[in-house]
Amino acid sequence: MNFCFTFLKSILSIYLDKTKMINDQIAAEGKEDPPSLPVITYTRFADETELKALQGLIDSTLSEAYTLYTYRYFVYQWPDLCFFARHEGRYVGVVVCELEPNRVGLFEGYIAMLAVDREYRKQHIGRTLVIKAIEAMVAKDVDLVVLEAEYTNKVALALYESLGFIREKRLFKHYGNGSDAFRLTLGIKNIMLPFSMECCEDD
Amino acid sequence: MEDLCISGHQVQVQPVAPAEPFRITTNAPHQMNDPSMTAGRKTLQKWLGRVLRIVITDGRVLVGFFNCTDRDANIVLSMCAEYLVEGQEPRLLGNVMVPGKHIVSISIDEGEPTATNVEVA
Amino acid sequence: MSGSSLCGVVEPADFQAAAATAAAAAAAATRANSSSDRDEWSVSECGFMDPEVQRTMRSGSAAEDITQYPLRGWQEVTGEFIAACQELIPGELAQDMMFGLFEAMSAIEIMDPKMDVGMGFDKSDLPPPSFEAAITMGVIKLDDLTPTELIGIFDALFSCIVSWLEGNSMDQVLFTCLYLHAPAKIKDKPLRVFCTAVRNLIAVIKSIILLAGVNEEEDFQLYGNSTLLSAEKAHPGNIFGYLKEVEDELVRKCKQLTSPEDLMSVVHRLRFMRHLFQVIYQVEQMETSTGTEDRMSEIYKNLNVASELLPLIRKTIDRGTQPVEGSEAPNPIGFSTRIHDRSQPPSFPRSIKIRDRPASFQFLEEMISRFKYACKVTRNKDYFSALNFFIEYSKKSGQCILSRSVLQAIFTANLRMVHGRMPMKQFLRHSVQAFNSPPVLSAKNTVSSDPKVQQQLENFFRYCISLNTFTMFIRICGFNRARQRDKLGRLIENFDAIQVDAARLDSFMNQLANERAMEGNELHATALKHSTHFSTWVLYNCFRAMLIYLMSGFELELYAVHEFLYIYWYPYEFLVGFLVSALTRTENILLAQEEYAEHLSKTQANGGSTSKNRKVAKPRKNKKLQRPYRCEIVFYHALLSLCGGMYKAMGALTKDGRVRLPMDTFDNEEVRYIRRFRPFGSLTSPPPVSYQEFKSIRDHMMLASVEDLYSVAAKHFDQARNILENIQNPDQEVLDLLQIARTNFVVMNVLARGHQKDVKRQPEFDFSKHSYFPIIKLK
Repeated sequence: MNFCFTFLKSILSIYLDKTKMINDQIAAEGKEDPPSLPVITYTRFADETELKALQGLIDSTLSEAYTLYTYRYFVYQWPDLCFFARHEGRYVGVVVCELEPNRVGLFEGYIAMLAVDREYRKQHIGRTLVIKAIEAMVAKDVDLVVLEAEYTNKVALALYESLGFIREKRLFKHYGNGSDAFRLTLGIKNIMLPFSMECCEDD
Repeated sequence: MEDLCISGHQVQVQPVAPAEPFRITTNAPHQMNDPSMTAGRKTLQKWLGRVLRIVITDGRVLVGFFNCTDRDANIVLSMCAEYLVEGQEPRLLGNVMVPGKHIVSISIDEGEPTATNVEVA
Repeated sequence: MSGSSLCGVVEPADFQAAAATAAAAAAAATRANSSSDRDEWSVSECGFMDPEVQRTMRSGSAAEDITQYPLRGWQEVTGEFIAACQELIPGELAQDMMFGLFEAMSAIEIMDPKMDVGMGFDKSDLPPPSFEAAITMGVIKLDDLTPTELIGIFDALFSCIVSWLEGNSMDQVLFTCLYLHAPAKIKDKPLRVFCTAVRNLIAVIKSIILLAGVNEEEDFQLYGNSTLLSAEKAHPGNIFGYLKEVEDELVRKCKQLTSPEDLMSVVHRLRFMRHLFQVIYQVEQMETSTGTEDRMSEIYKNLNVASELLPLIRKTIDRGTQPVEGSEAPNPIGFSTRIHDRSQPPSFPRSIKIRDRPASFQFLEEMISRFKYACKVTRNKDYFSALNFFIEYSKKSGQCILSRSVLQAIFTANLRMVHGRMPMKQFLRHSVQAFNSPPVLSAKNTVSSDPKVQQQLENFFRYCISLNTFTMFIRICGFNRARQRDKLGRLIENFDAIQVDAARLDSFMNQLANERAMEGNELHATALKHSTHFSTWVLYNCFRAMLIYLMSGFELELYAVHEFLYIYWYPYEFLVGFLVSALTRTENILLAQEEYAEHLSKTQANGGSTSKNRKVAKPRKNKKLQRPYRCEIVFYHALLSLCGGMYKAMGALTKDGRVRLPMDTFDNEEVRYIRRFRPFGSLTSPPPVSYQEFKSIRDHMMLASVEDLYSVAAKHFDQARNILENIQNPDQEVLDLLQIARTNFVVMNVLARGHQKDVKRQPEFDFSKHSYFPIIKLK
């Protein structure tokens, strides 16, 4: 019996893996916040003056290229779906969304951008922003929330997964640099159309 | 429900209706006839949809339909053609946004049509 | 709405509606000021029109060619413009009524390095030379190229071809080679012929990929600069001859040289191109003309020669001029990498990494062996084996668009050759017969000539074809793996109509059986009775599609760990069982039919006598014939156990707190479940399983203790191991599954015994051995 156990343990030692958990910030849920965490306030998009802050935050954190008008497209039409995270006047995080009926008539929310300043990572700011955005969409009677996330963006994928998003599609070579993406979906309402109705990009 | 505050600080949400609504001035007929429109706006209205020629700071010349601008003259052109050297074959770019800070000059296609082919200035 | 139309302020959200209303109002109003500073049509003239239509109309008219401007003259208005802009308040836009923020979003920003490719140009910089310019300037060598130079150019071109096949734009990789622009002007014969061959090769490859129809934009770019492509007429039929001629000349020259190695290397490359070209050309010809049989053997011969030449070529890569360190050009002579910058769409990637030469030849070698494998598809005479072949092939060559297209071409051409007109319909007919041998399809059985029966069969197969389901299933296997899943989802939904029709056909047969029985026609009655053949065949294929759809989610990494439970549960609880029962039923039918046929022939031979001297029937010679699906069934039993093991393992791990679950703020397991099984929802068979049903089964399973759950999971893995170990001549997949079963068995047992009881970490799921089943690794 002893021998068996040793044998089993030796097999196991091959599999003990020292890879750090991707989502350990969520695993740390429920523990006390260390006292040094900054105080973050969350605000909705107010007016043009905040556009520069938005642009600055996203240009410095995301690799995609957006013009001023891209931001305008979103915040002029859906200002109440754009949330900032601020620390003492400094803009440290933002989420930008839109909400409109999709091709098959469902009311679909789309998270276009999510960015958190590099110095303020791992403080659940991203998650809070996303939650606020989704709550705002739910208040507007959204049916489902979707977004694309890059294959290599493990932090984002873990974040959305923890909120109940599922990876619905794999998009090969989706981005200009040739990398893949996932299309993530969070069903809010239990409305189910036939599969073929929603997947009408091809054919 | 997840506690959304960090360190107990209250969430502040701005009032839903911002102080100054986002405005769009267009060249739609009903707006064109608006007598209360300021002179500058009227001018822009007149030019919307017309062809502009913009010279930018690195010497390139962009020619396209004037679609949109903001206060800082960040101009959006459609069906834009880019000339490295005027008179030579342009590169077609489609929709283009020219930041105001890079604009050297703006010209509009105007005046009496001439019989001969007009030389590019 | 009418109130707001008088003021200058419009809420952005209502903008489009306002624009439309405005246009309508204008149409109704008196003719507006011909303050036509605008020559263009006025809104009042054309009346109300959808903004989209207006925009399209506008862009179509001649006056909208931007290069025609200025029509009058440029008047500088800089100061006026800027001043006017400053009257706008912060956040205000002046916007053309037919323009929206959506269009603005797609604009590229000038002088932004991420978007503006043209910035930073230097007027004094000479543009990169075109082919003509290069000749005038004398910077391109058209004659007297040394073998070293030739090898360099040829190898570089092979690299470009490979790069193109991997999905890069033709202009960016191939037409940066100036020699390809106008080969007729090249004086050096080997170079001229080679470049002509490359041009023709490109054209034929494009044709194959286009015809095969399994390309998506992320796979491959079909379109390049058409002026360049049509610059010289293509004569693909002559290429073989040209190449042979040059080869022979060079071989003669080689005999006169003391050290002909360099020149021979050139010959090898020409020869390789010749055989490769021949293969591609023959495949393309198969699509358009007949005589498949001969072409297949030719193709195979050429493939063999090509693959023999590759090692020789690879050994002599060093003999050619090599690309300069740090330069983007694949070869110092004859390439101009920036030549197409200006003609590309604004968003093209700045520089494309062309594969290095050894890697490119590696690609070609693998591609050739894929082609060879593709040739074997002709051995598959029925749908069942053809589908299996396609599935296997897709696993091996999922990324190579040309390989997938070649397979489609060969398969389709072969089908046409074997079955003549309406090849798919005949193929399906033949396939059903091969699958479970319904008497009504058997020529030996007189019932098959019954006109009513024939009519019904004809209707059924026509219907199958019209719905395109079976054809699509095979074609789907030709797409890239990500697209396959989406298309499979839709295919599965379409199966419902065919299921219904197949059931209808079977019940018709049963009814006819009764009629014939009443007429006293025992023979026909027996043949028609208990007909389930068609339903079974359709259902079997449907179940296969469902299983592939579900499991492909693992391969594409779509499932979160907390979803594994219901993904493995469904095949375990239902789907694999259905597959096994469909195949078992089929085997039993076949068995019964064979026995009956034997009985018939015996009674006929003996004239119906039952003499005591009747010999005992000889034992069947080839037992395997009776049970053609034995292997499949065994394999599915193994899958069943593996799915069961994973299902119970996930249950145990969840109960044990080792699985990260989503927060319940927005998460809804029911919604997730329904989304995952959506394509199955519209099928009649199998009937959809509601979330409540799943939940009650799952909750019941989770009542057991954690230790018990681990133990049960271990038992399932042990069962799988047992089944897999008993498979004769196991292939690599079976061996991999065996390893997975063994390891997971150990891990489950260890966890059952309380290992790591105090540290609840989520295990790692390693799918590297098999894309459907992971090895569970504790940390």
